[in-house]
Formats: sequence, structure tokens, C-alpha cells
Amino acid sequence: MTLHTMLPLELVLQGFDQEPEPTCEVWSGDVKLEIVPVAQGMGRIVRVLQCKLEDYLRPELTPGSIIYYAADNPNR
Amino acid sequence: MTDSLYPIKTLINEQPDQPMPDDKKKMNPAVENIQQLGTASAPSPGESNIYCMTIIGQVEGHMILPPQNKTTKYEHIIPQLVAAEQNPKIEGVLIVLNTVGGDVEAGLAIAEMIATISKPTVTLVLGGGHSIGVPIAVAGDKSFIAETATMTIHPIRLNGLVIGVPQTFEYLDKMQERVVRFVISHSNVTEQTFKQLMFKTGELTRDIGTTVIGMDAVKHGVIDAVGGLGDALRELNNMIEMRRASSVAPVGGGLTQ
Repeated sequence: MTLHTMLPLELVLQGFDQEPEPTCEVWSGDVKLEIVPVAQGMGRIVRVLQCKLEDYLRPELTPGSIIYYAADNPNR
Repeated sequence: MTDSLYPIKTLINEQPDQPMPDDKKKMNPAVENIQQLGTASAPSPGESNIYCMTIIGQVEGHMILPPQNKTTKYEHIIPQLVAAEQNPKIEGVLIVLNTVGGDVEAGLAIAEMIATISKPTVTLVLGGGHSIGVPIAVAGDKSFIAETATMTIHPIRLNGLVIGVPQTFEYLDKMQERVVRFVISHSNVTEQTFKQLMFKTGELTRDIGTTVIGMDAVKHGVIDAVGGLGDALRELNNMIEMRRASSVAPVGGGLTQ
């Protein structure tokens, strides 16, 4: 990884050695997401793992957004 | 509770031709709108033919950056650009930048994607378009910079494992050359001017390089024009109109013999 940023690297990489937040994979409708759980049935999107191409244009699926998802779907 | 359901079920079975109360919903929508809203059609915002994409904070690449960084993830931006290219309702893309730089590979990947979209693209630098944000800023068909926005042009720094051999510096030089080549091929700046800006001393407190503000970026040829949101959208709409006009097949006079 080569960083080309105007910010001092010590600021950018501060906390790099710390344990990352635990994530889990959930389905929200037809979209599979990697999220950081923040409450029951609620999580912050880390990345979209599986979806239709046009779903990438949905602003609510932008990484960092809070999403509500259903409990484990037995069909998945 | 269940007992109360039986009479309804019986009633339905006995009188199948009886219109259901739900049939009211099948009323002509125009008539319903007149009754409910007093107009023939409900006001709607209408769908835009322009897709707006924001690139903010650090451009995050192969490594997840610590959470204090606000990041734009390239694995989301790249399929977004593919979707925008593929979607027939989208006729133009506006890219708004306020980035401090980030991963070289990710930044160049985004820049290459923007540069190769067949639909009109306009980039607008607001606040800042620093470091690897520079190739992204010049990647559109037309680039704008706000009067107060800045761009820091500086060399790539060494980070990670550094072996004190000439090959390390050659590798770094190659990485930097990729950025320089992209910028000079997608903007009006000359290689000489861009390298002068990049290696200038005495401008930055902790680094070598230059900070160009608004008009300076245009003067050096890095950005096409100084402007804001209105200018960028006007230009994008003009480009969309031109593309529409050019895609209409010319009407021939008679059959081809």
C-alpha cells in the first residue's frame, strides 16, 4: 500500500495497531452486507458484498450508513 | 378472536359477487388525485438524469484505515461508476471532490474509471483535492475548482518497509511517474510545470510541493476553469445536450440505392 496524502502519516495511521471492530455479514432484502453491529437489528455498513449492479446507486447502501436489517433469514 | 373471523369468511363465500371495500382503491388514479389533492396529478420531484458522486476524506484502498479517518472506499466507487455507465436513465456524472488523498492504486483506479466512461463527466473540487485527489480531479471531461478550494501537489512519500537500496527509490519514482503521466495526459499542465510544482521547496511546512488555490490551478493548466456548482451543472447539461444531438441519426433524403 502506497499512500499519497497531504495529512501526516502518523495521523492517518493512528490506531492502526488496535483490534478492528468486529463485523458480521447480513442480508438486507436481496443485498448482502458486511456491517458493524451497533444495536439489535441495526448496523453500520462496512461494504456491500453481493447485490445487483443498480443497487450500488442506492445512497442508503453507501459504506458508513446505518442500516436496519431483519433477523436471520432461514431461506439464506 | 378466531370466532370473529368465521362470519366474515362465511359472508365472502356466500356472496362472491358482492364488491369488496378494497375495490375503492381501483378507482382511476387521476380522479382519486382530484378528490384528494385538488389536482389531476400528484406533484413529484422528477428523476434526475445526472448522477452525483462524492469523493471525500481519504481514498481507501487495499487496507482498511483506522476509524478516525473519513474514507471513500474504492470497492464501492468502482461498481457505482459501472452502474452509472450501464444505466440508460443516467446521462451524465458529476464528481464532487473534497479529499486529502489516499491510496495510490485506488486513486488511480477511480481516475482511470472516470476518464474512460463514455457519458459526459464533470469534476468539481470543493474545499480540497489534494495528493492522489489531483488525478481524480483532472479525470473528467471538464474540471472545475471553487475559488477558495486548494490542491496540494507533492511527491509520494515512502512508507512501510523501506530497504536502503537504489531499487526502493526506483520503485517509488515509478509510482510517482504513474501519477504525473496521468495528470499531464488529462489536463493542460505541462510535465515541466507539474514537476516544478511537485518539487518546489519553501511552500509547505513539512513537505516539498505546492498548494495551488482556485485560480492558480487554472493558471497552471491543472484544472480547466474556476467555478461552482451552477457552472459545473450547466457545463454537464450542455455536454449532455451535445451528446444527444450527435447520437440522433441524420435523416437521409430517400432510400439508399
